[in-house]
Amino acid sequence: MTSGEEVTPMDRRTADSLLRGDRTGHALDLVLAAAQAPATAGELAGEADVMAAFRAAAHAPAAHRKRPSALHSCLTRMLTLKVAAVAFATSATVGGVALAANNGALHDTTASAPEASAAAVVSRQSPAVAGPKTTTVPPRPAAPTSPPPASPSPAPSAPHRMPDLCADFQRNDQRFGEQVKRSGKNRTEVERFCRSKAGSPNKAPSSRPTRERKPSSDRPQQQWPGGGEPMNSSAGQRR
Amino acid sequence: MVDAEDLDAVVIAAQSGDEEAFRLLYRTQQPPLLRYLRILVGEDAEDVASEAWLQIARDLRTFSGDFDGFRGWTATIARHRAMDLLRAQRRRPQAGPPVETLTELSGGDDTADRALELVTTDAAVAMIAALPPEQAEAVMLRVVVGLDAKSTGQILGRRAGAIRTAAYRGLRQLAARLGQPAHPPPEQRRSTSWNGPVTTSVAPALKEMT
Repeated sequence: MTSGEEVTPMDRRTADSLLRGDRTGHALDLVLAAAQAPATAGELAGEADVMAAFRAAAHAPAAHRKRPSALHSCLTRMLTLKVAAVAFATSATVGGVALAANNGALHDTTASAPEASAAAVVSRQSPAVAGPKTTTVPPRPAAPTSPPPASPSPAPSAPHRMPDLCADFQRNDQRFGEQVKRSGKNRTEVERFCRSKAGSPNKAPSSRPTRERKPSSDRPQQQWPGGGEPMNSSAGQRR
Repeated sequence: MVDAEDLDAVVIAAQSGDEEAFRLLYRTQQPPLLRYLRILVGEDAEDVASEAWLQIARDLRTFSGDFDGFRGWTATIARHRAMDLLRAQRRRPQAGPPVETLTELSGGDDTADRALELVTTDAAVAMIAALPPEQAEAVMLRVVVGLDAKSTGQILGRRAGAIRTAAYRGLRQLAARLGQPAHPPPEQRRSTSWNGPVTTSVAPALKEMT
């Protein structure tokens, strides 16, 4: 093989003809024709998969989902880690509440007591003061005349009692977040309470809402490094 | 081969859910896309092409245009998926194997003349892939994918004039690397055996690929 572009004259007109796919008599005719040759069987080996994808897309509703971008999945992962870190941090500071929940005290009292959850919120904000109080002094049952002020017109289907909230939580119900907000409770507290109620650690991954989880079938995400439920209960019991 | 006008109708049929129409589009467009991807990502071309086709199948209903538009649209998707891969691997478009493989792949015939006649698709693509990236892409999109300079420029983010220049330089380099004599080959070789060498060359290429 020789080098140097002077060996073979390739004027612009010939090049244009070649690019159009015309035969020019130039030796490149053969090379370009070979590059355009009909499909080989190997090149069409993925046909079945592609056709299956086409069928699936044809039967899917018109509002097809976008492929989650790399940035999006990265953000999702980061958010998940942050949630896990926050959950760990709060479980460490208000371990007393978790312990109370494990003992069943919180369940009995907060079932009808918005003050109890308010106390739990306070204890999260100032654990040094309120933490021991919640463990040593169980919150008294609240008077039934203290509805949460945040819900001026509670819908009939709005459960503000902890068991009901937990039921929504267990069902991964979309209403869960809304109900918690309406009830004026702290979402993290309620989730941890419900999770500790749920019991066995191996139930934890399936018993939490999958709101943050995005459908990425190619990469199963580990939502809670180390598991959310065991982290909470063990932190509570250690205290 | 199907006429371009027929393929326009095929695109519309596939968009309305016609499976056989989509199959025809795949069989027509997959080889050019795969060969184009070969110069971008080398051995990963099959995987990237599969990804691209999954997206094509899913988003076909959002596409609007004729078959020429479909060609450009699919090439754009394929290029995006290739760039995703290159970004993930933090590497640049890889150069193909050296041009010397042209003769190695071409069947081991005695004379260079014969070897050139039996140039395989793989060898030709490898030869184009050995060009500087912008020239290789311009040549592949124009010659193999069949886009005009304007569409190619839109995909590559450059002006049509720049594409024409890049393709021209690419062809000049290819011709120089072939090292062919200045005069055109004899007339009988072109007329009688034009389709012969190209189509029969597919068989040895397939054998070597699998």
